Amino acid sequence: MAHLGRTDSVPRVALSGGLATRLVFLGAVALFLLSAQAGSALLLLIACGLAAMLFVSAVWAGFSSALQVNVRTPTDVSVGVPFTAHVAIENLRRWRGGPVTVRESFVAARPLLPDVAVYVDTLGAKQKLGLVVELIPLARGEASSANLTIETHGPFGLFSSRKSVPKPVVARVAPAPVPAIDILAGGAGDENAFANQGFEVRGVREWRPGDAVRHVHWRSTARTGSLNVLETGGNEGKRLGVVMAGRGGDASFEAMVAVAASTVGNAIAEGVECFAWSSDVGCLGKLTVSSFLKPFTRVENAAVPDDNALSHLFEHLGSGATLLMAIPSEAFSGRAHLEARAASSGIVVIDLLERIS
Amino acid sequence: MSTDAQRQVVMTANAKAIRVSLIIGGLLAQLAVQPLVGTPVWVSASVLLSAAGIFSARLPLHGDATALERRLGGGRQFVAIALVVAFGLGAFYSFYTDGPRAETLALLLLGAQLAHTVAMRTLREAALGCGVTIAMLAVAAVFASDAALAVLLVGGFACTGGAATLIRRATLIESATAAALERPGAAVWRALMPFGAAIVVGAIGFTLLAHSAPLHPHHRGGAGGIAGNAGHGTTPRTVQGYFASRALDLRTRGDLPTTPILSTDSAAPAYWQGAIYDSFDGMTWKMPLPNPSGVWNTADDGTQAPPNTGSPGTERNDDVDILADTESTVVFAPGVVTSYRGPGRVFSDVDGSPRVAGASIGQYEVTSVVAAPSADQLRAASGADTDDPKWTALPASIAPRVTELARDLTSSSQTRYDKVRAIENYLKTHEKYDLHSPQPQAGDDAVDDFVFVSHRGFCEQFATAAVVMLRGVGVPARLVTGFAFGDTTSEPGRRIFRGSDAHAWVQVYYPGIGWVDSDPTGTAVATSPGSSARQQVSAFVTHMWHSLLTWGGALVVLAIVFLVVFVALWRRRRIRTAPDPRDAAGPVLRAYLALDKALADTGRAREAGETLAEFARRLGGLVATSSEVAVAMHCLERECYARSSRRPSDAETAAAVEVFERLRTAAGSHAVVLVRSGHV
Repeated sequence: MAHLGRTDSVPRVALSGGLATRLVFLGAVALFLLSAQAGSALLLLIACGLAAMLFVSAVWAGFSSALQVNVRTPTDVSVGVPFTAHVAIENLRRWRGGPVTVRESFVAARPLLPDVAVYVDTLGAKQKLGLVVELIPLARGEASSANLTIETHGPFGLFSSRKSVPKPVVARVAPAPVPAIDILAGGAGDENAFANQGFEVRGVREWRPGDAVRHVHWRSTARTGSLNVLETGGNEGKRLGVVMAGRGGDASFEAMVAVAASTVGNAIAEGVECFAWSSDVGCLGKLTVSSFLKPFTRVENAAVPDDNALSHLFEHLGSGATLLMAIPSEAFSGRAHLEARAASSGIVVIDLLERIS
Repeated sequence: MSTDAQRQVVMTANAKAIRVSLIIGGLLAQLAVQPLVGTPVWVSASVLLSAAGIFSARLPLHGDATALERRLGGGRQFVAIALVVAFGLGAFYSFYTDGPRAETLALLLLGAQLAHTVAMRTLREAALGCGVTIAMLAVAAVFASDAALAVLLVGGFACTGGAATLIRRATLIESATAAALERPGAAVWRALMPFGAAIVVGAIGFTLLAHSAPLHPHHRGGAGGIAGNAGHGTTPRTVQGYFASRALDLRTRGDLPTTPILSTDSAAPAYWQGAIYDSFDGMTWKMPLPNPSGVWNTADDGTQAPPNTGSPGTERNDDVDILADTESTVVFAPGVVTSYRGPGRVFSDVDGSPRVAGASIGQYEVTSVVAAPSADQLRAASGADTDDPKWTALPASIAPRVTELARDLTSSSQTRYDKVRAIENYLKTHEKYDLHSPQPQAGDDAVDDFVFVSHRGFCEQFATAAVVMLRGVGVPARLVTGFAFGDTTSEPGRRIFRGSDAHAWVQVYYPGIGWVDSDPTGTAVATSPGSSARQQVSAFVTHMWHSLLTWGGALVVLAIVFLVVFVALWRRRRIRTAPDPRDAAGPVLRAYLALDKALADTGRAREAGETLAEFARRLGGLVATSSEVAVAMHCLERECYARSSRRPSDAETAAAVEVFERLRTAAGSHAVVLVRSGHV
């Protein structure tokens, strides 16, 4: 999905350079006063020089450029997985423009994506420039908007003009892809509810992260040169649930969410019905291949579900299902209660805290 | 070449340009403060700054110092601290011996500039260097004033402005994820271009403001210029004003031209006295009034002589040609005039100085008596002293500490001659000859300001201080203005005096001998105009500055601009007409070679050992997709190496050329495209 930002109006002149600009301004004023008091032509010359630098810088920054800018970034990315942003800049003037910085910053509670910041020395008359920038998402989460800022810099580093355009863009950064838990083949340990249920080979497919080594189909791997695994089937009717409670940004919680997301992704591919629940996102119903990352992306500040929520979730899962518990601390309020309720409902609980530690 | 390497290439070139701009600007600022700190310190500082610039030219500048730079910076910081200590001690010594002076501030700024240049590692520190340079230029403008300084100010500002632009550019590049940059050379020129606009705007503002408010030009020319114009402090003095005036204001300043004023048939250098000043009010000298009964006697041959003659000394005759219309009524002569033969009627003022009335002086023959008593004769001088109290009169405004100083200096002197020598020696050793001395303000005591505050001045200040101090200890003394030494001419046996040869000195009355010349300015005059390197440079720059203000100078500038444009066009023509080896190649190869050259110019050339396929992958994503570049590269290989049957079709050729052209346009207009990944 592409999002375009556009501005072609004359930007507003705003002070930049901060201290340096103010020092030059104060210096010019002081020298004007001194030259008037002493009647010194040379002091007046310096004062005029400083004032001229301020004037030229302000005019240059304010009127040298009118730009059309397009910044295109993907909206669904994953932590640690590089993506590319495309930046196109066109000088609409009939003369060469000054230095320009184009910056797209995503608005979120914590930094999810690095800013797309492109600096261009100069653009000729009517010249277009395209740049491809490679970026790596920083953290999991969802940004609901972005700011596109175009800054034209005047000479001497004194003034720059700045125009900011808000962009109603939703950027979702999914958890980092990590090795999943092989819940279908006993990876969940003794408590695995699926361990003794039907295991049928449906075919051979390419290896995906999370596939167990023992599922590798060596014959086809040797023949094709690419790593293949046996695809199991017969998982219809199996259910997997995820409960997430924690604070976004917490390292252990983020690690558990990443493991849970990868595990759910694999499970859905294997035909397992999956559900996820968190107090801030709620339950989005049965997860699908295209939508399963949503709850893992959005969960930000969630508490352990109360009895009503648990009843609702366990009703979806039913007895014999597996529940991934992504709760970072054992002292987390309601954790023990959740485990007790799951046990009484015949649901196998996999504590991701033990897995990541 | 990796993107980090590309970034390194650009940042290194940028840092080099910043350092060079700062060094040149710093050298100009040092030249501007040279009158304040003296030639030895200036030379040392310039050598140190140049050395620091040479050794650090290739060092990068970052937003923050890297760990390696911090480790390497230890040695440089040691040198920087040593420089700060050295110049700080110099400034302290200057402050301790003479009190707060411009020299103290200039030394501190010099130390800061040198230490900063040696230790400079980051862009923030480089920006600080711009501030130091501007501060030095401002200090030079405040304390040292010369029209030539304007040239240094403009040059210093150009370098500092260019450096500031490049520093800002480097900061923006560092903070950007990706950057599309010009070639380093083009970036430097583009950084200097706005300064042209700033010069125009500044010149317009300066012209408007300078015309709307009276200004002190604050500059003088030549050595020991006196140019006794009676005008106000805001009026530049002229040679004409000096000769036509009856007062000498110590606040006035003026640029004396090198215009020839008079020539004589005497080749030997000498003091040619013109006007005598007898009364002083603390800021201005006044000439005596005309004497109505002092008309000289005229002989049959037209020679005029004063009624009373009889000064001791050697008599000499000189033919004098007045070469410029000075409106002068003064008879210039190397001694006491005893006869005059020329236009007009001569009369004496109350002190006996000859003046001409009734005609403008053009050419005359003058006889004068030059007294040259020896030191022993002066020490042994005895007889009747002058009884006119005006020769020892002082205004009430003279600060008591001036006369106290004179008394201290002469307390052990037994004779009048020894007193004169004691005061002369004090002035020569304690005061600095400086054409850029600051002006005393209205209401100040000019002598007190010179002897106790500024310690700087030229012949007017030296001579005035000597007369006041001598009168303060009861020695009859007066101020004399005229010309000193002059120059020889191509005509053998003749000597020429210019406006810049104007000088002021002292005459002391010795009983039984009369008025004898005494020059407390000493070496400054003896060296003659522009004899020191600094003076010669200053005179040359001043001359060039004035030349620029004339049509002749403008023509010179136009000729230089024309020459530069001609050379640039000629070079372009040569490049165009040079045989192009690519003409023999196919269209795809030609396009590829053009791209290769554009990339090589910008540090992205194909590396040794890099195949076309690898190169294609590296180029992909710039302004063309990887597959487009790969197809174009394949087309290139087929055009170069395939059999004729497998050569690319016209459509394939056109497509490949278009891809290469697109890449070249992007790479050519924006030399280096840097891409930096975000952080995990």
